[in-house]
Amino acid sequence: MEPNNIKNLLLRSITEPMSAAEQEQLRAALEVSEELRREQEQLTYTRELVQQAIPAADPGFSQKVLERLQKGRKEVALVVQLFPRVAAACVAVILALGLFLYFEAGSLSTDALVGLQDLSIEEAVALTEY
Amino acid sequence: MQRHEQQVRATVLGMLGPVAEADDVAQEVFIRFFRSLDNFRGDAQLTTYLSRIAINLSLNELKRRQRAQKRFLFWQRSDTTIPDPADEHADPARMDDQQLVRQALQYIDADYRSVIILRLLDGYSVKETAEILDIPMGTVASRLARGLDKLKEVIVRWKAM
Repeated sequence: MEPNNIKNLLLRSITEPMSAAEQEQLRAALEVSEELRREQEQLTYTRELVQQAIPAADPGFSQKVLERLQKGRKEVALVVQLFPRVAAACVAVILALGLFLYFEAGSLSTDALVGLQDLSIEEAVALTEY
Repeated sequence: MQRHEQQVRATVLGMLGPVAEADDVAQEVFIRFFRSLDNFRGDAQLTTYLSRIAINLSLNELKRRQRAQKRFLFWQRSDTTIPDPADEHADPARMDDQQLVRQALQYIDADYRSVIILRLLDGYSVKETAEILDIPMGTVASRLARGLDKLKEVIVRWKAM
């Protein structure tokens, strides 16, 4: 059997069940190769290390999750509670600015909004050259 | 929550390594679950559902970490690469077996890592692992074999130090 196939068989044997014929093939290969036996040992050790890597219980974990959930709910509630007031304040500011602009420039045109309504042609040309 | 806490934490710690963000991500798994309780149809097992969230959030965190690292490298204009297992950053001599395996997992590709964690650490079958990761069962088997081989190389190298 090809060395690559034996290696694949060995890798599979560590994590998956094998047929009787495959088990026999692997057993025969292991018998004659010390290197393969060492590799099998290392792979089995690695698998066991992974399987044992369960973290210790954290007694405060559930509490931390609940606190974060409550904090999130409070933030949402605050936004919902403040939204009408903030929206009303924004509308009032926009209205005040519009009125101010209208009384100052006498119109709400785009030129008035950007402050160009009183600009002469010479001044506009000078601005483009600048 | 207490019943599933350890498995979720094991999954996230395995994916992200022993870092401070791992605990935040593990907590986020349950927060996402509670927020999406209405969408939980119950056709998937609760543990499978939580593992899927844990893997997805861990992968997001890894992507965020990669982006941050790229930005850092751009500003630093250095040629720094991922530390070699042999360098002092990893310091395997000071680790116990659990730390060692979690740290070693960080040196193999996330695709292999997720399969190893779900199959060997969480104990899912090939079929369940394939469902959680949305990949064919054959891919699970091949990634597990190759991933375990790569992990073995890292651990053997560290142990020999």
